[in-house]
Amino acid sequence: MRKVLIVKTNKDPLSDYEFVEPIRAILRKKNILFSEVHIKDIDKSYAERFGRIIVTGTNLQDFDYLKYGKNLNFIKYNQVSVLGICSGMHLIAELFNVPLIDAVEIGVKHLRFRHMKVFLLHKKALDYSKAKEKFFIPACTGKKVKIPQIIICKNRIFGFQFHPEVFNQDLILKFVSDSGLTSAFSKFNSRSD
Amino acid sequence: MKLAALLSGGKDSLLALYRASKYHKIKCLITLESENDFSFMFHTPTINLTELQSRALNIPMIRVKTKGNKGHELLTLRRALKDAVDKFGVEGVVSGAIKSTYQNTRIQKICNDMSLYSFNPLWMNDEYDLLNELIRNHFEVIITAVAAYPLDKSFLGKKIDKNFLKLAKKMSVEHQINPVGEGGEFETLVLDMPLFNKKIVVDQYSSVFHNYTGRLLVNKAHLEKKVLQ
Repeated sequence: MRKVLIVKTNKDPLSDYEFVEPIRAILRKKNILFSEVHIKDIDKSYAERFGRIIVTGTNLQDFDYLKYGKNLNFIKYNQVSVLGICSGMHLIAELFNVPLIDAVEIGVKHLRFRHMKVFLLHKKALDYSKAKEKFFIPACTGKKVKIPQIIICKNRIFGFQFHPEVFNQDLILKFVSDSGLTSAFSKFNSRSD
Repeated sequence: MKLAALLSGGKDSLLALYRASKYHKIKCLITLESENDFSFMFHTPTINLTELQSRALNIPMIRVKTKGNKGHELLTLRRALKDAVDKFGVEGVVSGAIKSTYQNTRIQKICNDMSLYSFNPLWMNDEYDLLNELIRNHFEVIITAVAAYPLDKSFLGKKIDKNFLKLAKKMSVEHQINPVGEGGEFETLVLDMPLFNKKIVVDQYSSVFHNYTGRLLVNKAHLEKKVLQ
């Protein structure tokens, strides 16, 4: 198993407890080694040292992370696997020139995709009309305005709008495993919500 | 940032406050006194002792009563937060939800409506890590209510310490008791913690217990100067 890097997006260190610690706890329970860096401080040298990168979420009122998206530019050209959670997914979208829209979703929802129960906590989301041109989108919420909940790109870049650390910890463990998340989604590639 | 802390008197709200105080100024405490013993949002036993905790912390408290049904609790919380903003200029709230999406979601929605930050520093944290942090930092916590087998009368008044930690692990495996009581299996009261200037001493108490449901009623308590160890 390749070493995991956690990239934090929260401006306020108090948010570490809420958005980073749950991911740490999931990895620690399985004795998976990891390191951490803030989005402000990451550069392409990290891609050489880590096989898997998890970009964590942040507070509902915190948008400071949007200033540092370019620091992740290397993931487009490197072979590193990346999972962006909430704000982490927003940063992936921006790298691929997919704009964000205002969209508040707070609470528990069930996706049609695999009947997944998910926890949502966000005020911004990907513009579906642009996102579908760049990503495979197996799951969305919303009726009038579709909100992508899962995006996949190049079979190694994944984004979850929901917080998998709450009800979908298995997806985090699959992402860091040798087989990766691709296998978890491959049989669903032909259909989406 | 100036924060308000939701205070129930139990270990979770005070550990959340403790963590938040490392980075921010806690300007006021908010205590909702529910008339409903089975409140969805707010833990109820020994809530009257939050006044002593407020004095021990030297942080002012906004204390409001609520009927304890879902709608009224949330309306009361919204009003209390508005009070906290008006009187103390708070920009955010800290609360002690660990796994309750019901509690977390409601507070997040209200805070978002009011453009306030909502911090949940215990959220989805490992339960044993939380218990260890309490013990390591010399929180004096007692159990004040039980509501699940095999928690019998002997648990009322029991301290959260290393022995309890061992017991919690055993009960978790054998009886699916959540180690921090997140399923309502037990409730707690904090008598002392690092931010208290004085500690709470219980002078008189009584207890009621029937069929693995019971509570400790603190009839009289006072603050006492802490002895440095």
